[in-house]
Amino acid sequence: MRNKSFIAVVLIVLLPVAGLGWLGVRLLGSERQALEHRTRTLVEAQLLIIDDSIKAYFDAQRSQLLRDIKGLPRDTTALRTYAQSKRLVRQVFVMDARGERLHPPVNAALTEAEQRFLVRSADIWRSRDILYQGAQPPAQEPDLRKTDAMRSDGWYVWHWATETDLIFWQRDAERLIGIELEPARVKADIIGLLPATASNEEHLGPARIQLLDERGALAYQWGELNGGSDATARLLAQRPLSHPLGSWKLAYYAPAANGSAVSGKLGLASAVSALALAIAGLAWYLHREHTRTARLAMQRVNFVNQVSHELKIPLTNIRMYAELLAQQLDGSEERPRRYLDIIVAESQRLSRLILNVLNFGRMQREAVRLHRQAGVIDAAVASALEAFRPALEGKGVQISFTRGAPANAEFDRDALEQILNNLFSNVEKYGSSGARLDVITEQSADHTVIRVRDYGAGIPLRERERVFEAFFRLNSKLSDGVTGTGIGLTIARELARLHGGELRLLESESGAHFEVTLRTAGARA
Amino acid sequence: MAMHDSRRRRGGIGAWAYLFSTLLALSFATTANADQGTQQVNLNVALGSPVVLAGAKQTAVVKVALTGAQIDSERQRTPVNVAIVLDRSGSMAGAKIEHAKQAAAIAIDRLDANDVAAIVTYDDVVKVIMPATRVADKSAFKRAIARIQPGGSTALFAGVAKGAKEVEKFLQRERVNRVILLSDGLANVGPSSPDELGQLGASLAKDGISVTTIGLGLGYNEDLMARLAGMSDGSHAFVEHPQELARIFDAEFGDVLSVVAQEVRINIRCADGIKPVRVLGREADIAGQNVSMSMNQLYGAQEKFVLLEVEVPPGRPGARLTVAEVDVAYFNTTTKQSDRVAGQVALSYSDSQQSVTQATDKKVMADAVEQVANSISKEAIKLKDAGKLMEARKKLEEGASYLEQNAQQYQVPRLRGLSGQFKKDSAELDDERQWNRQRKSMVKRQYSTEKQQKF
Repeated sequence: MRNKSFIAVVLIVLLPVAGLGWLGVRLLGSERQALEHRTRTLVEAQLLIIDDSIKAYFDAQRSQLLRDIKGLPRDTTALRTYAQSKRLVRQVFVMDARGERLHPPVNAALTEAEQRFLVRSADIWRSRDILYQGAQPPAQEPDLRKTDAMRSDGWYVWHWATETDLIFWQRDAERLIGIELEPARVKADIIGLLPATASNEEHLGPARIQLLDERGALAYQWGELNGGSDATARLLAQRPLSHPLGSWKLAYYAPAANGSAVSGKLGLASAVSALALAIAGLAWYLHREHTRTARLAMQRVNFVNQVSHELKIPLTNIRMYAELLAQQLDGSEERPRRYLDIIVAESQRLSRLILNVLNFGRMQREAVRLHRQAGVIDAAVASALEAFRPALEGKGVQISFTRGAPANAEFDRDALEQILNNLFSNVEKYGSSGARLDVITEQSADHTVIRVRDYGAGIPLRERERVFEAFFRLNSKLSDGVTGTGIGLTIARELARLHGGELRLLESESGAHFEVTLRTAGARA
Repeated sequence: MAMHDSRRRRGGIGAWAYLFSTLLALSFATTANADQGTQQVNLNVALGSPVVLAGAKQTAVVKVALTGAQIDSERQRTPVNVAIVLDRSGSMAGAKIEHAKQAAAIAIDRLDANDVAAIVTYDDVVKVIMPATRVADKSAFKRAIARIQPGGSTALFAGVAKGAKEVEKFLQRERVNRVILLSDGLANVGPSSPDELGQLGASLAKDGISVTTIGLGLGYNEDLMARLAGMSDGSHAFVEHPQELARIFDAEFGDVLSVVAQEVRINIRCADGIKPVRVLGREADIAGQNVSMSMNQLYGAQEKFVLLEVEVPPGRPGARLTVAEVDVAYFNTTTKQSDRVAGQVALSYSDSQQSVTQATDKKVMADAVEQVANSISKEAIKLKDAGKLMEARKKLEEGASYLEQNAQQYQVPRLRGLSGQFKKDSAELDDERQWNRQRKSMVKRQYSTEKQQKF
């Protein structure tokens, strides 16, 4: 009973909460997906803009270098001065149409820087074709996708030691001029054109963009992410740079849990938990009410138990002395004898009530033990019926007893008597208007059935099971003027079940029809 | 060393011959540009040994010294365009960052509305807390400085790049364009090799931007910092204790505010028969007979010099030989015009060891000795880095006795003091706990010697 109510409470709370939570999570999930998609699109657009600015930088350098080359004198000193004075230029070289070196000069002393350049650019001098291959722009730039023979300028990228080295070359029919850029300065320029980290992150929000070089090493980063620590960063998007820095890439990191997702999840969680709290509160209230009722009932039972105990002894004395007194009266004293009969009958009724109460209390606390003894069911039924006969006949009830259990059987006489007492007492209290009581017994090898039927007001269909609940009383109309504890049928059913049987209310056209089944093993005909 | 040893083996010579040849040599060591009124730079080309022994091939040292004119008043001062780049990595927390902020604020106080300054900080990321602005509202700068808080890692390269970017916004040849970098740690975000930083420095120098690097504490990479400063012709300082920062900033700004010439291009054309061997201390391009190099700026009343070692062919006694012609082009920051100054130097041959000895320019020789000793000190660091403690120590002791001998020969007490320093360096070399500090101190001294830095 207790367990059941607890499980019910848990289910009442958990099911709606779980259902709502699931719905919420799904909704939030799809919302987050949409948001994620939107964010990703925005982020990708942002990376594209950044890439464009870097591309624009290289385009500007290209124009500048083309202008430089146009005005560049061919003599060694001028070329050297150019290389030494241009911020972005590390070295200049010139080839003739056959790929032979014109500058750095072949027949003159070389500076140390020129010698170093020749070492690192040895591949180019072996085959200048690599310049054109390295300068292959990505396919998505159709205007640049000319054949090698057609292109007159381009970028060549190669990786020397830990740096990305860039060469811009331009050629005509007679010569090819190459300009090697200063890698560190290119990096610094790119860092210069990329945003710094603002103190108040308004445009970027909590995010970090990283520029990674061809080895995947961090070249530059900006954006404040979780106050600088990026332990919880989550890669949202990345994008390779355009030619010529195609081996570099941009990576966009956002906080592990996106801000809006966090608030969404938080909102959902708080809504669900508020709901859970409300339902739990309700459930707790109901549970408390329920246990309070049960506790009150229990207290009532305990109280009645105690009172009944106290009543038992004086009642026994009253009965005993009343019976003694009856024996001493002679036949002439009709009136006192009738009074005494009433006293005895009423005290018997009182003992039954007390016994009921005590039994009920015992059953609540502990298992009741049966004391089976050999006996005849019919005899026990008759004896119980006999005790009620005066009261029933006093209310005009005609009793019919059909005996069908004459065999010797093992049963608890007290238990059977109590079951029957309760049934008969109900007939007396509620069914006397039918003016008829049928008691039928039947017996099989190991079962005995006793049917008790009255023809009174009966019990409505929907109350059929509830009459067996403790402290249940039918509506006041029926119970008007009738006293009782409301535990009789409960005890009767418990006892019947204890006895391996059942107490059922059978369907009937009028009145109440109870059927008691008892397992009466060892019955012999 | 070779040139020096060869000279010491020569014998005595007559006083007359000495006097004659000295006068001769002096007549060739001229400062040719006539217009002294607006002359910002004084060129002095001299030989360590204006008289050499006849009949043998030998080496000689040419000193090309440039001295900026003293600026008369604050009014004449060249306006500056400076970016102060401060490390605010986690390790700067505490006294370091406080003193750095204080030093930066004091530096801002020395500037005025003609100057442009920017404040950049970096940790994992770079923040331009004060973009390049005229220093009209000093309190705005100070407020920005006051807000600096220590953070995470050290994105040094990016810090310098952003600092340079700010300087580029007001890049003018009429201004002293400079990035002042303060760092106490290893660059651990972005490019971090001394080579790359050196390249960046060299490239910035082409724009006329110098980077001064101030290493604070014992955690920074002195090679990287010295390289960055060296290639861009800035200054380099080692500040062990944060409370010295204010003084160093003061010295640095003292220099910056005294610049008289920029874009200094030095061309030394060696005469036929003279073979340029190497330039002591400084970076230079040697191509055939031509030696060229640049200095980003010259400070008022400070001498910067280039020492070129040349091979001199054998000659007859009494013969004179032009060794080199020097041409210096620079931008005069006072007149805001490009100026040139030229000079040449010649030597004469003599039979007399005495005249050779007496003609010797002790100052030039001392400078050369100092540069040679400096390269010995650098080699010692390399040996120590390679784990060769004994060799490193031997190297330093060699350097010490070399300095000692020359101190005696040229009667230059400065060299004796330097010898003592070498001995001290050698003695302390095996103290591993002190090595980090000592190495930084040595790199700083080497740097100052190479660049004739005054602080």
